[in-house]
Amino acid sequence: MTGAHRPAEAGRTAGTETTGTDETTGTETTGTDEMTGTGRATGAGGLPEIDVAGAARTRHPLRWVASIVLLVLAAQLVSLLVTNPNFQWDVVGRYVNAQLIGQGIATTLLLTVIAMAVGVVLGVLLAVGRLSENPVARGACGLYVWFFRGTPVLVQLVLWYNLSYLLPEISFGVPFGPEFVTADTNALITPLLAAILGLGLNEGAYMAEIIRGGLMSVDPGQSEAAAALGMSDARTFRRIVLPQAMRFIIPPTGSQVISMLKATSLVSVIALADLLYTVQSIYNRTFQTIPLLIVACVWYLVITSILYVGQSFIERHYARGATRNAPQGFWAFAALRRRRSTEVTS
Amino acid sequence: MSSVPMVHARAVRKHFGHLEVLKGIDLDVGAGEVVVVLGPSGSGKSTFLRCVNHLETIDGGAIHVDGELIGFQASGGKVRHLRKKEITRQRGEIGMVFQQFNLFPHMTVLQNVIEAPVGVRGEPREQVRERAHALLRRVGLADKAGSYPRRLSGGQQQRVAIARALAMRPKLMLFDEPTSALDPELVGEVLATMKGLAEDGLTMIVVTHEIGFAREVADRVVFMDEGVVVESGTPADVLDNPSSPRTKAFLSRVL
Ligand SMILES: Nc1ncnc2c1ncn2[C@@H]1O[C@H](COP(=O)(O)OP(=O)(O)OP(=O)(O)O)[C@@H](O)[C@H]1O
Ligand SMILES: [Mg+2]
Repeated sequence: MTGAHRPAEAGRTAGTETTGTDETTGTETTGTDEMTGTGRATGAGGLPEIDVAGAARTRHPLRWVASIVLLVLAAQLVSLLVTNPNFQWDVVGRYVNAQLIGQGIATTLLLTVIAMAVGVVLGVLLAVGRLSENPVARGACGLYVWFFRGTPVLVQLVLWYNLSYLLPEISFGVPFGPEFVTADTNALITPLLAAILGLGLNEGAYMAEIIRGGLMSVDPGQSEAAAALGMSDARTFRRIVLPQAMRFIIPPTGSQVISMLKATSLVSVIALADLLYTVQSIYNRTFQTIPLLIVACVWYLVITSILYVGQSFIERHYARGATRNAPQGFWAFAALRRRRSTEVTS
Repeated sequence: MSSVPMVHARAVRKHFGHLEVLKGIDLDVGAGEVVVVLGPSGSGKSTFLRCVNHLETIDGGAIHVDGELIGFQASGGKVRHLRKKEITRQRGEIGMVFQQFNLFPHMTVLQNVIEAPVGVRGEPREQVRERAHALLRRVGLADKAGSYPRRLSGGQQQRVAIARALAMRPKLMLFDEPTSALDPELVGEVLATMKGLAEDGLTMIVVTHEIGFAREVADRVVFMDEGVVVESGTPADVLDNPSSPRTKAFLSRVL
């Protein structure tokens, strides 16, 4: 109710400032009839003289209802989390910093970073291939994307892990000709390599589509202007097209990184000890399933939050010059404020 | 006109699929000459300009710029397509200004201007930077060096685009309707800049609908229609005494 009073007061001051009639102060809303009535008497050219400064704000009773409902629900959730003993927060606290868990996190992060790197590099190549004038390259890259997006990652992981089943030996040499190096597949494909191949090659297909979309969203006039200035195709791509495409590439790539972070948990099927696998191996012994899964979730959320902050910084970098108005993010705003205040004091 | 013209186009043909856009264009532009190209929409004006710096590959005829065959190599009676590297070098010597400005929005005005001389020609950055500031002063934008293009008005953007092209010290400048995307009150500032360049002796081919500019600045006016040059002569000849009924019809519509 206190909230509802303020706008009415604002309306009253506005009324006294502009027309100072009793009709406007009498009503809480703008009171169109009275306003036009007095306006007709005082305004020039037959229109009422009005100053909208300090106008009464529109009230939103539904917003208040929604907020209260949400707050109640949140309070219930917190109380459930705190009072329900089955969450075993003491166990969560004990394991959340455990060294074993730390190793799992390290594996998860390592896999995420390497698989994403493979995916991005591959994605750029595939995207350029799909946009090239060479029909063979276009077809091959299209086929790659079709296959790797169209089959489950889990299957791809298992296939790479069991590659020796299909190809007992891997040789490098002239195609259909002499071979220079031959290696035993089982020794070559470690679980880590299988995981990197499985996740990275799959990611490449998704990144290819994201990057292709980004590249296509750049105005063709940009490449034309670059060509007219004598830039090579490679330089045009690197300096002109890609930086502008980044604005469209970064947000979905951020989601891909987070998906990848969680997709790495699939590698537990090939016995690689990532965060989830480590947690599972502990609760298989101790049967503290829920608290240990909470530990894993806490860490996934921590990493995701850090990624989120990183993403917003990268986004701001590539947004430079993109809009007419300077992007005013929180940090830029804070920095500006600080600079201005130092200027004043010095 | 000097002995070797800056631009020498003979029987230039270009088609897109079945559509024949240029049906044998002949045009000579002397060094320091300003030629204004007029013509109805779809007559092939833009296509011709884009052929001059090989943004489009011509299908027949030949274009020479400053005595050099554009896009091709002729030796021992054989003609071959030039390598990419040579094509980009040739383009770097011909400036082009587009209707839609096409500034690089992720770079500041100064970065736009120095990008090609530094990145393509490998000129020392400091030297180019000085030249860029001088060019920005010349187009009246000395104070905008640090701005991003999207925060400039259309007229300012087009003047930056002119400075960017000039930074490569082109032998020849091509303007494709440089003022058509501008609000009427901004057209004047761009035309004034172009007039300054003409007075400094730059060779220019300008596609425009600004008849006033043609009358005042052009050494020669060329009227194109349906892929051919219909008429060519001094501004007075073509604009006031057109000999072809097609030119007459066009002028009566735009004047
Ligand atoms: N890349 C292309 N592919 C197919 N057709 C094209 C292409 N570029 C131009 N054309 C066609 O060629 C013809 C001439 O186009 P051009 O842009 O040269 O005309 P213009 O004289 O510049 O006209 P405007 O005054 O409208 O700019 C038009 O019919 C156009 O549709
Ligand atoms: Mg055109």
